[in-house]
Amino acid sequence: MTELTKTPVPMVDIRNLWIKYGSFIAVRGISFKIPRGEVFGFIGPNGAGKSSTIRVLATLQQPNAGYALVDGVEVRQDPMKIRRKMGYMPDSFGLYEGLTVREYLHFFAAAYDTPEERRDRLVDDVLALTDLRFKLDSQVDGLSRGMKQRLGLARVLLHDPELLLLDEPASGLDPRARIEVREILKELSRMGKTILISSHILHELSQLCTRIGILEAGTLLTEGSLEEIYHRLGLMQLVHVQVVSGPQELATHLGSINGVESVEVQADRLSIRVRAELLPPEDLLDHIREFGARVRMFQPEAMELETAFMKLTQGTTA
Amino acid sequence: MNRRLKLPRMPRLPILSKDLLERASRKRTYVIRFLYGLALFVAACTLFYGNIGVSAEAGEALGRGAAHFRWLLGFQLVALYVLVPIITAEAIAGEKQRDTLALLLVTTLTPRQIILQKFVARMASVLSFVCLSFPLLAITYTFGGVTPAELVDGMILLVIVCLHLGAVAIACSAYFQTTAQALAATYIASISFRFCCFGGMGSPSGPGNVVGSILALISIFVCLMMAGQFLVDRAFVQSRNYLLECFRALDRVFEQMNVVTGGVVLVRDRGFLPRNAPIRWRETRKKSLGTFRYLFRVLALLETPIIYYVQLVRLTPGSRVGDYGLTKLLYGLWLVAAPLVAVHAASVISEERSRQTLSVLLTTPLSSMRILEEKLSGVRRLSAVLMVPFASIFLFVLWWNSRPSIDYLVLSALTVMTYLTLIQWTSLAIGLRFPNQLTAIVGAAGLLGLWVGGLQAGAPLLNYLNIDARGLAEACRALSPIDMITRTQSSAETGLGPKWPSPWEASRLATIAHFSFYVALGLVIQLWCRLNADRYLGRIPQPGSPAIRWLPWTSRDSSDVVPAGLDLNPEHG
Repeated sequence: MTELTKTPVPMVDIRNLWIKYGSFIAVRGISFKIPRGEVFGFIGPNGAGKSSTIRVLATLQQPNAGYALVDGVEVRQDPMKIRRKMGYMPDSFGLYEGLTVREYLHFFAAAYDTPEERRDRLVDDVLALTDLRFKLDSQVDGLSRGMKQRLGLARVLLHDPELLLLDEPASGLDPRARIEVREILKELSRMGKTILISSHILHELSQLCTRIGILEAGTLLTEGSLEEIYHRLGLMQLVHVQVVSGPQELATHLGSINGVESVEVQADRLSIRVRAELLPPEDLLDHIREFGARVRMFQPEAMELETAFMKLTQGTTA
Repeated sequence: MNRRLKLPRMPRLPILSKDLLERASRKRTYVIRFLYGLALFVAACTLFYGNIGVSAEAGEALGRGAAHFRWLLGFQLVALYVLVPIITAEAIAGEKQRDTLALLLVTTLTPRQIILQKFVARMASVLSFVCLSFPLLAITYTFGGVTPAELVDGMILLVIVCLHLGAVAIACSAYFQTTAQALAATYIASISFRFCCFGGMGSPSGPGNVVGSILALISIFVCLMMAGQFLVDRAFVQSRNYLLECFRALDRVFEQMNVVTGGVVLVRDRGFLPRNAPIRWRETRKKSLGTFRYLFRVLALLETPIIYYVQLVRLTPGSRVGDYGLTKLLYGLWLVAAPLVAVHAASVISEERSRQTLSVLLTTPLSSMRILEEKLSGVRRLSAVLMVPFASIFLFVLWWNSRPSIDYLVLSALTVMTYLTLIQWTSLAIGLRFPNQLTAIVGAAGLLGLWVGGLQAGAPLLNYLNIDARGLAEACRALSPIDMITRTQSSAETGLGPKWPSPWEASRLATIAHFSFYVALGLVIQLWCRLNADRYLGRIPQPGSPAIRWLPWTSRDSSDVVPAGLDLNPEHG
């Protein structure tokens, strides 16, 4: 019975974390948890304290107050244990010159004390996952930016970490490279890895992350799933509906349903603003069908992270 | 008709304004200027009142002006040759390293305008250093022996040298991709120019050096023109390791020549992957100054003149050329070995920081002490290779001596091992402490110069100043590494007059104290590096590591200790 009631240990648990650089306070007492297998998006303007928080979890930065736990281990209690559990990719990917991709990955495999006989297979596996097999004997410094980023991901995966800390992995990449990195991250998420990812590209995070944390001036403004954040902010979801006939009557009918905030009749469609927590899009569709309208188009707009971000932040830095 | 007087519009100088403002807002600009001024004024006061004292009669000082003037001019020139490249080499290369050069190139400013504004901004700073010496030069005039023309010539020479060095540094900065490369190239180019154009024209303080000055003025123009061209042509060129490329070019030559041996390769470096010590693998197999085959070439280069002089001594016994040549080679070897080890050791960590590869390395489970140990393996290999030419000289001198002296061999070996190890750890400590590679290299080289030069100059300076501090002078002499090397070498009988007693014969206690001091100092610095490795590398220290156990002050925050009240055990949920 005791086993059943035990709360699972979150992969990341940050409690009242403070980080200072001299008199400058970068992070002001933030707290949040990331359960296992979640993809947590860390959003915030430059200087918000995202990288500092990630550096604490990567055991590179001593917190001034508070606690940062990775899989139940406090970063100051056993940093070496955390280093084995975690893979860190910084925002600036400096790579060693004069090494080939193979040598670079073998270098880090050796740094993680991977048994020598397993290294060839391991390198092959991570290169297959990041689609870099064909670059095995290329010089690292001759790779394109996107490939370097993929190589960085391959390096992070060498010791099969449970937690991935990715600081701006998509910054400076062209659209194709960004999509490739996003697909790799989705694959890693499917493999059960816990991922903490910071980014400025909000649209991409909303497609990838199961939870979001918005940070500004060292303070965590909000944290939770996108739906939870929308609910908390009282934001509406917009649904576009096109019916074969009688849009005016349908608009009047929908206006009386609980959860529908407004219905706007446009030339070719109805734009309906709903409270997603009260009326999910699928229930709205049922209502329209029950009314007897023939639906030509039903298009709920993706919840926009930008809206939440702009509503929460004021553009200040710590 | 109320016509307003039209003044010529001031040209827009955004880069100049930005650079001047930037430099003016930095505290270190004023600190360096103050320290430079202090050194200059202390040196001048020492010069003016050294032998005669402050309260001397005015008559005693009369006529000394010419000597003082030449000395001050020489001091300034040496200082300019050291400082101007450090201040100027960063001008364009720094923009490239910060990825901000592209932003300048897309403005309406022409490359020449950018170069000129950068040049003027740096020269404004450097010329303020030169101006500091003008009152002192004027004082030398009051001592007599200096004509007004010489005084003006001297001042003009300082300004021309300053501009020449700045222009060379700007050209190198525009050509190379990193500040360290630009700095090294500036030193090589400016010293080569000095030897080519001024070398045969008297001392550096010769103020009437018209031809040299004209050549320097032409070089300023040529360098600035070249810098404008490089700025565009080489703005986005990939950074290159020139030393490694040079060695690889030699590889290709040797491979072509290898037809004679039928393709026999004595030292094969390629085809290996790291096994259990990845950092050591990289330091000794992938770095130009760590790889065995390349170090072997450095060794061959150093051994060649030694073999030449050894043969000269053997074939012409008693020849002054051979004996003096061998001794000069020993000092030359020190001049190469000490800075080489210092620069290499100072770079091992700072280079990782500059290339932004350190943080990734620090998140691996390698302990900080292991990182340092493995990082030093390349430096150790370099030191070991450098010991071979030293050993060649020592063993030849021992063999050539009619009366073999074990003292000489032991003391010589001790000097090499003790000093090189000390330089290695001190430079590593500086590299750990300083944030970027250039600062670390300059810091290590500066400290090396201060240590060696300070102790060597200490006793003569006290004597010159008539300061009765025999104890201090003796301490300086006893600790001076140059003194120890010179006295040890002089103790070997080489056919050049009477044999001097070795330091061991002169005073056993002083010799033991000398080496004990440096061995102890080396151990203390080594211990400091090991204990503070986590802190200065920039990672959270492992509890139970010596740094936490022995140095409680290394983790000052109260948050370092997890309070007993907080249950961090994951089993308790």
